[in-house]
Amino acid sequence: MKKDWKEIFFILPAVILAFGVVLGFRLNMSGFVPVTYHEKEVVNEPTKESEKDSYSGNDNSSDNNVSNSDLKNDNSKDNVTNIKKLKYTKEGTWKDGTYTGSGTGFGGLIEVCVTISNSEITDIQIISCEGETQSYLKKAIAVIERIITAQSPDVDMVSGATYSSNGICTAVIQALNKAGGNLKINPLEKNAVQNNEKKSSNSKKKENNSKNKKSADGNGKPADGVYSGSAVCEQFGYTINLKTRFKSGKAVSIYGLKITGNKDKANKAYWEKAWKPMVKRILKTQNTDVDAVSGATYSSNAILEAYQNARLKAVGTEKSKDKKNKTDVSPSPVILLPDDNDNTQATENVKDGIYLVSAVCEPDQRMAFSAYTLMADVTFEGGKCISIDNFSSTDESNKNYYLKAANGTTEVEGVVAQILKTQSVSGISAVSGATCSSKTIRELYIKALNEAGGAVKEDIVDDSETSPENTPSLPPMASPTPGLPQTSSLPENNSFAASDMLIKDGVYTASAIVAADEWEEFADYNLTADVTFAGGKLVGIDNMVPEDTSNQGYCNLAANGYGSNKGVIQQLIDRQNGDVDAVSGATCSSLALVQIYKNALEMAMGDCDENIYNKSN
Amino acid sequence: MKSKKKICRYLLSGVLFCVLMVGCSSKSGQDGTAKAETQQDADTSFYAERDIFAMDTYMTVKAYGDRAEEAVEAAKQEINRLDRLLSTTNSESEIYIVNENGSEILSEDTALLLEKSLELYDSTNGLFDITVYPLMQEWGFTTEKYKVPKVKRVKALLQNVDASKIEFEATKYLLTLPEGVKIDLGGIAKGYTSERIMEIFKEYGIQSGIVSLGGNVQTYGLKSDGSFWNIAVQNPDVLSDTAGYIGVLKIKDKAVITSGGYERYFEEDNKLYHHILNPKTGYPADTGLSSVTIVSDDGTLADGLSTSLFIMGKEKALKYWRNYADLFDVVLVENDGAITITEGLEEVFSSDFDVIVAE
Repeated sequence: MKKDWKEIFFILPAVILAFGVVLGFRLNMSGFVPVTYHEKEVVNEPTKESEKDSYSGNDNSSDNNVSNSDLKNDNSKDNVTNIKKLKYTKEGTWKDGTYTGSGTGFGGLIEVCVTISNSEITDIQIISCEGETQSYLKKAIAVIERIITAQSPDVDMVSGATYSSNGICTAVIQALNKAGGNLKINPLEKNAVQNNEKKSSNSKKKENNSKNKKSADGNGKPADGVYSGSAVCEQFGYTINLKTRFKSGKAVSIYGLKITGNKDKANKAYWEKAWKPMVKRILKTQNTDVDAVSGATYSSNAILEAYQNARLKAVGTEKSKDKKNKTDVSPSPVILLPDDNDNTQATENVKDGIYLVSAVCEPDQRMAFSAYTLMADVTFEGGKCISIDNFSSTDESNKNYYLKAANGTTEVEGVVAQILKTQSVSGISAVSGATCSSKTIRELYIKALNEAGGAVKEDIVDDSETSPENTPSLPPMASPTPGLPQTSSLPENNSFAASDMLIKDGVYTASAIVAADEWEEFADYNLTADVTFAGGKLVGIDNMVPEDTSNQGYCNLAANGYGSNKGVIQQLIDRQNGDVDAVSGATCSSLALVQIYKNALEMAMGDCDENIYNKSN
Repeated sequence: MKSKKKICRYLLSGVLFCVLMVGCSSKSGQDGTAKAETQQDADTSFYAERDIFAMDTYMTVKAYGDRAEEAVEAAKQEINRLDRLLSTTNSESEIYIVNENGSEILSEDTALLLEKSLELYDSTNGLFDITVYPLMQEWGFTTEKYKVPKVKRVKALLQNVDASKIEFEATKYLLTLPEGVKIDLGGIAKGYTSERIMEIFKEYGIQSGIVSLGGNVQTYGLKSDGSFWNIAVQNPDVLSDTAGYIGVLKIKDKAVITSGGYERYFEEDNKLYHHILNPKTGYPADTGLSSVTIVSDDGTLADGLSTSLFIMGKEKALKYWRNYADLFDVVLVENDGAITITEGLEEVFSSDFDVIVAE
């Protein structure tokens, strides 16, 4: 009964297919990408075959590789249609060559290689398709044939399909974008292109990291404490951030997985798959020489690198300790952003370069979004900030807001423009309707300036995110523009019960066993999630990772609810206690989420912030 | 024929719009450097999207416009509201209550849907019947505990399958069901919901939007790049090696709703039983069709007709269409894969398969 919703559309006799469908369900729905062309030409990037295998001991991608000859074999169908072929609105032509692109299939990421000759799509090969079932691949091949026939991949939605094989189309579109073609574009798609380009700036950042590696060699003994580390997953352009607690020279817990700069929701499945096994192995072996996770090689490597990064900081000096992730939460439609950091104004000491920075955008009380991390590239040239761009976030549903904050509206100048103009953080006006994002962007600038050496008072921004116990220091409120409503909702001012004030703000990774009750037919599994407390209050639970990913659907259902069934997370946030109603159809996951909340609360109230991997092993 | 003219008009305006867009985009393309701040021109539309699980299925809502975020949020609220109202299993829904108590004063939405259902019942000679619900339960399609019921049992339940027995006092919104009669508006609920979302899009000044409610697609305006939406029609032969879809419709401001036996079915004694029950026989409709896709301005109508025409079979379905050709068009797929489309789709449907155009 409780599994009904999942299988309601596909009662397939073939178990393999059913599995593929269930797995792909979530990926595909979340992987919907607006199918639109863009006019920007992107340089054809060579595929990084060499990097692919660096940790690929168990990489099963080759098992599923479809060779060109396989595709050709299926190409025998030669139907004639008495209907005119669609005229696609392609302008300009594609440049001859071969181009790669990727998209989400049922089982994960699909990479394709598109060959253009005489400005026509002549061949499409699937070069990697980890986790795809044979039946999906057969369909994918058929889709490829159709794309070649139609010379376009453009379908917006499939009627009658609960989910569809959009992944292959997305992959082809990405490849075609690289081929130029001067196609029409929706303005927002340009951002996606920029995210692609972020790779290059990320690489620069990474070079810095590797320099660190040399100066502080990894064999030293890590100092006790919590250190955060990050690494860019080169292949897909997102950054893995994590925290590691070292005790007596050993890594005792790895937690706080945060992804920044991800442009494709589908990637989530990969890092989720990789996260827990990697954490276990690292903690077990205490060295970084562990195998990558089968089917999620890239993210495994990135997790590993992020851990190494954290370890290097622990081995090295306090100098490499994390920059603070300061949050300010004062809301008001139009306010002058608090001028609390005059000392971070540009100085001659600023080192030129592109700095990849991130900051948490936290909702104030009136805002109904959950905290997310905003990331951007801040470029300094000639000692001055010349651009803040390549914005991305951990929750792209906020994209409208942060872009609005960055770029402003017809009435209000964007925060980016203001910063570039003044080269200062004082006197910056928040963009009305995007106040929180405005502050976060300003935060990004401050962080980048600090990284660039332009900041004077390092101690203000240092050593804070390294441990979740730290309460974010809040800047004083600036006087709001007269006539506009002011709601002062700094966490400290909230009238919480005294006991609530014992809750230490931060992100706590907690887990609980999802135990099957007598009516359920699944095996017990472990569910992990990040629980965020701010202002002594629960503000969100995210990064839910079920041990058995086939249960992700239930977890999401429990978390977010449906219909009249309010999600557990919202109930927890509303009530701030564990007394919530289970989401019908996902009772067990609901109970586990409540347990996770309680566990996290315990961590936040006690002095124990060790993560679950520690306990459960 | 009427709709064909309309489509020509769409095409013409589409071309004009394209020309305009080309002018704009080539201009902005020249200075389209890698600076985020240069991208948000005044005419930039914002994009928002929501994935929602409701009405027992996955739904996606996408919108372009300055207030896209607000619009998709409102759409989500509306979906959840209607789900609460129309669910057969939620003990607080009007449908649940009326099925339990035998009578209930309906809210406006439910009353409207009920009236539409009864209209469809008349126009389809009883093939669209909201009282088939007890049979759906008996077959296990509502709970997924599938079973082929005994012939006697089917006959007994059929006694109560007759929407004409429903009493509805339109002035009081009072619905009364005779003993043993139960209703389910699920046959048009999603179509109505997508239509409501189109109204929300309008309220929020959305330029361009699309929803897929478990495969029920409805589009609003043109795509953000000024072109028509390309809506594929799922291949009902889900296990075949062919492409996922049988063809693509180029449309704007239309609902595209597909029903087929492939959506929900089970196997017993080597026989497949799908979920579209013929209310006259109490058994899954077996008329040689594997899917029916309705293309219409009216999402509610499209939803209701997709199952009704499936039950009718090809010939009767085409006959029905001829009577209401100004209201909808249809794509019929037969069990052997043959595809028939109605006239109005001739210019907008493209397929790699052979297609017969019915007039």
